[in-house]
Amino acid sequence: LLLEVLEVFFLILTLIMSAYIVRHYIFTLSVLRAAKNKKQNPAESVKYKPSVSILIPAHNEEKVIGRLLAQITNFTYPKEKMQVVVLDDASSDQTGKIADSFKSKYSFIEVIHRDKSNGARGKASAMNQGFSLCRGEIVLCFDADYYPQKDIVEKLSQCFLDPQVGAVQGRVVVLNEPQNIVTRLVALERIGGYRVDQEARDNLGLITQFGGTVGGFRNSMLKSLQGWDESVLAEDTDLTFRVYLAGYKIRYNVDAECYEEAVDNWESYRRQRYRWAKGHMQCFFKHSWNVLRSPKLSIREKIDGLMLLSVYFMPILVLLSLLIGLPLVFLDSQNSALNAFLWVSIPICLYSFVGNFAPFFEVGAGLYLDGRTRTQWLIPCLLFTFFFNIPICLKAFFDVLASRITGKNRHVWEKTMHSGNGNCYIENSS
Amino acid sequence: MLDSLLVALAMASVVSVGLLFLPAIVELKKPRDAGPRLIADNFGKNCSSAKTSLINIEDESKLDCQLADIEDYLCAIKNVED
Repeated sequence: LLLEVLEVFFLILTLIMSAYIVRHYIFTLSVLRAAKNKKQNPAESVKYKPSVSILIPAHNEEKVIGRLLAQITNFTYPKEKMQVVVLDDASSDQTGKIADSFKSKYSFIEVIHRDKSNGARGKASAMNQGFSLCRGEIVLCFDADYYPQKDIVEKLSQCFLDPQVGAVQGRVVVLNEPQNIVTRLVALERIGGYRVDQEARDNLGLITQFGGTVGGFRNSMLKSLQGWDESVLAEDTDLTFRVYLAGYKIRYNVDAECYEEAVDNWESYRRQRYRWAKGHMQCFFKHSWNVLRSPKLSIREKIDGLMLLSVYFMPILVLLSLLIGLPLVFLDSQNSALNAFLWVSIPICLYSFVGNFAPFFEVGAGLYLDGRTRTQWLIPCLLFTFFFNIPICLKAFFDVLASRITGKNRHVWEKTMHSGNGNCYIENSS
Repeated sequence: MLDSLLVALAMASVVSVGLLFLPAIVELKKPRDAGPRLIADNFGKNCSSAKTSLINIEDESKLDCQLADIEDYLCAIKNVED
């Protein structure tokens, strides 16, 4: 009986994985098809130029904040319609001074200094304080380590012509990709996520995800939602679902590109992914029921929303299926050795093709669309991040579960430190 | 019979995995497409135009060589006919 229960459970897990495969095949085909029929829509031709506030939270970002502010002063968007709010979040380095020097030169730049008594409580807390000062119709957010295109404001703000659009997301591209194997693998994941996944969701009218940076909101909508939820670690995913549940849509503009400085060592990678996984799981418990019963979401949005909310459970399901597969091999005497081999190999192959978050074929399609050639050779190396994410997500799951059972919110914001290793690529290129 | 099949399968798996990672090792040792992808309008365009003109020059010099070769062949054929 135990074996039969295990077999049924195993099949259910395999079915869930298959559902994700189908979903991502649809995504990939949709983007490949759209790329064929793509028409250029140059940002210069857009007449819609609303007032825009740009929020930049910064905690100990002295190595990168200067390049971002310098790039913002080169933006092609009319400066009289721009307000830049830098949030120096209890920094102990020169971040505040660098921001102040820009403030003294440019009237559209404002700086808020948060000291240790009210600062360093996470990004959402800083964003809420900065948001209270935003005067623009549109509020855009950039992390301090980001380096956007000069015309990115035009590209992002044009999406708000549609009154149903409450938020917008642009594309993230890894700046320090050549640095080492970690940055190269992160770049692959980003390409899968932003070149294919996000664009497909936008094309298919599904749940486009706001990534917390390189994007923005309609000010009035964000006010009605009362800003960011400070109790959730993935405040971006949380806001994504609150936007959709309020009846608005999020658009994605793949042409609005912005560099990011990716994590460059495995420890930083682990900490960042742990924060994302935990935050995402918090959002799953917070929103999944609301998504299911929302009258403002279509059936396909509900299905995609639930799959998006559960995506960080995937590595745990992989582990479960492997654990179940092994007793099926050794205890089921009726099975031949070949069948036993298949029991183990099927989930491994299946889940390996699925990947954790962006499946391998999706990454390949993204690289093809970007015109990348030999980087495709690195795709098998994603197996390492695939297995590395299993313990990360498992720990996040148990921590979320523990905090739900005990009722104690023990979430601590672990900030990703940026070493400025991407600076050399900008300087060399210019 | 079954044991040897399993051994063969295991060996095939090891070889497949090795082959799977070989290109990745090559690209990591000698990166030729390591990025970063140029996105910022100011320097992105300069780089791509410089690259294009370089390619055109190469193409033209190749074409010149090919034309010279064809000319030689034609002369040779003419000599044979004579």
